[in-house]
Amino acid sequence: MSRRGAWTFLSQIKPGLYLLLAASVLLFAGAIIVDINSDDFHTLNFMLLFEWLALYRDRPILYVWIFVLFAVLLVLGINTCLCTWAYIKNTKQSGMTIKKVGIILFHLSFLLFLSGHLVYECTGSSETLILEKGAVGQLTGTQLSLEPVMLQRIQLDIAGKKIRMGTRASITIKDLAGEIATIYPESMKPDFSMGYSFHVGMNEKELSDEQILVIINKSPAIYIFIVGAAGIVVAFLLFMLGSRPSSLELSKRLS
Amino acid sequence: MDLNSGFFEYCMVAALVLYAMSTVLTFFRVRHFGSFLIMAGFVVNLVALISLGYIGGDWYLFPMLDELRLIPAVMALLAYPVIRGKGRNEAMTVMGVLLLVTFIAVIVQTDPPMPSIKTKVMVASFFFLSEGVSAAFFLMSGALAFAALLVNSSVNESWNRLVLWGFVIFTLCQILGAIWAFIGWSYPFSWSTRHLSSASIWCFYGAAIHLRYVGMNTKSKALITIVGIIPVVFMVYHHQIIELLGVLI
Repeated sequence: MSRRGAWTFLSQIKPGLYLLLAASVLLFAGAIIVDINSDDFHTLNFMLLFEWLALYRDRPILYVWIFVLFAVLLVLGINTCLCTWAYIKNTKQSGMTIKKVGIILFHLSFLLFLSGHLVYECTGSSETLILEKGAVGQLTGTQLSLEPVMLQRIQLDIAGKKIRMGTRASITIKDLAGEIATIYPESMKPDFSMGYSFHVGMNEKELSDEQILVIINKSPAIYIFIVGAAGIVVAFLLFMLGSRPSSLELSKRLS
Repeated sequence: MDLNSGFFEYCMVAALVLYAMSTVLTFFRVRHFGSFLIMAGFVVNLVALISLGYIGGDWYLFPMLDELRLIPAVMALLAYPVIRGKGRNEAMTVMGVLLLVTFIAVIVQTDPPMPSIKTKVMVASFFFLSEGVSAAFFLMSGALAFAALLVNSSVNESWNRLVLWGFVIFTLCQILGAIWAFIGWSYPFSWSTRHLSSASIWCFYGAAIHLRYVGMNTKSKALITIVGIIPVVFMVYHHQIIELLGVLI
């Protein structure tokens, strides 16, 4: 197939459909592989893909499907770009409607999500630290120092049974330049400062009452995801508005 | 008073009986009373769900959205217009699937969900609501596609609308899931069985809604829609499948 032929082939819906099905099969196979090796994959949530691959390079069964999946998603991304471009050109000729704008916006948001995932797996940083109240903890990767000044365990009393609902904290953070800020993260309620997000970890069982598990995260992908998610929500609203039956259709249906 | 202990189980059994009676009446073409009974079953199913939220004298939203019991309720709502419609095969297939998911909800031994750290945010409740609703849409679309294959229908693709709206709701569910994962665990996508099977389902139904543009025949479209049930069942009933496999092996 010539280069032009390949380009034309990729700008059709049919290959996109097969690529989506291929991605679905790979993800399903991946779900089963992850189910069997859940501990090995749990570390990937806090590591960059390249670092994780270096760790498991002698176990190809764990990552071959990821390479194939990335290849399929890359071609799917190109296909989506070309198809959306062709759709925009056709729509310009046949007339733009709210529904069509919604469809275009959805595909563009999907591309954002795909690139967001790629950026997330390849950039950014994530570190986990157990901090003690009153003691300064130093993070190597993020060059920040953190000192919890207040820790409070949250509990729910249900019919006399105490249920742990996480931890609330006040933490003073200081960067290399000497800038100081105070953050108030809580379980399921992260705080944001100096370009980082600070999350209170879930696993509190092995911690004393004076300790807290903090996850510090920084990734530009989060902003891509936010824009993508907003795009998809707007796209659906436009799609629903455009799919609304007209008053004429409604009266026909009712009669 | 704690409604939680056992009350919901009786309600689910009553809902199953009502759905079963509705199926029998539909089989004998007593459609009006059959559709009345399915609505009665839905109400009882809803009472079961609401009762799950009453724990220790307070009401909690999250336990009310237990997927195993939510899916039959949504499916009953979707089955109502099918029963009132003309296709008997469609109605019987849909009722068969409804009975099966309700039966699973009755026999599966699970403790009612309790409030926990993970579920204290609203986004968790909306995530489970959207996942349960979209799973019901997908299961129903598979049932309708199966019914179309049975009667070898070449014109009626009644499942398309369910696939489309199921996909819309499931996409919102993916966004809610990403928000929930980020605020709770610090990453928007987790390399876990649950997230990967969710992504698999999203890609599958993403492909399914494009089927109409590639000139595929109705039989192939129906077959693909039926295959979609596999990852949905795997996602929703994952724990039960693993337990069953453990018992069998």
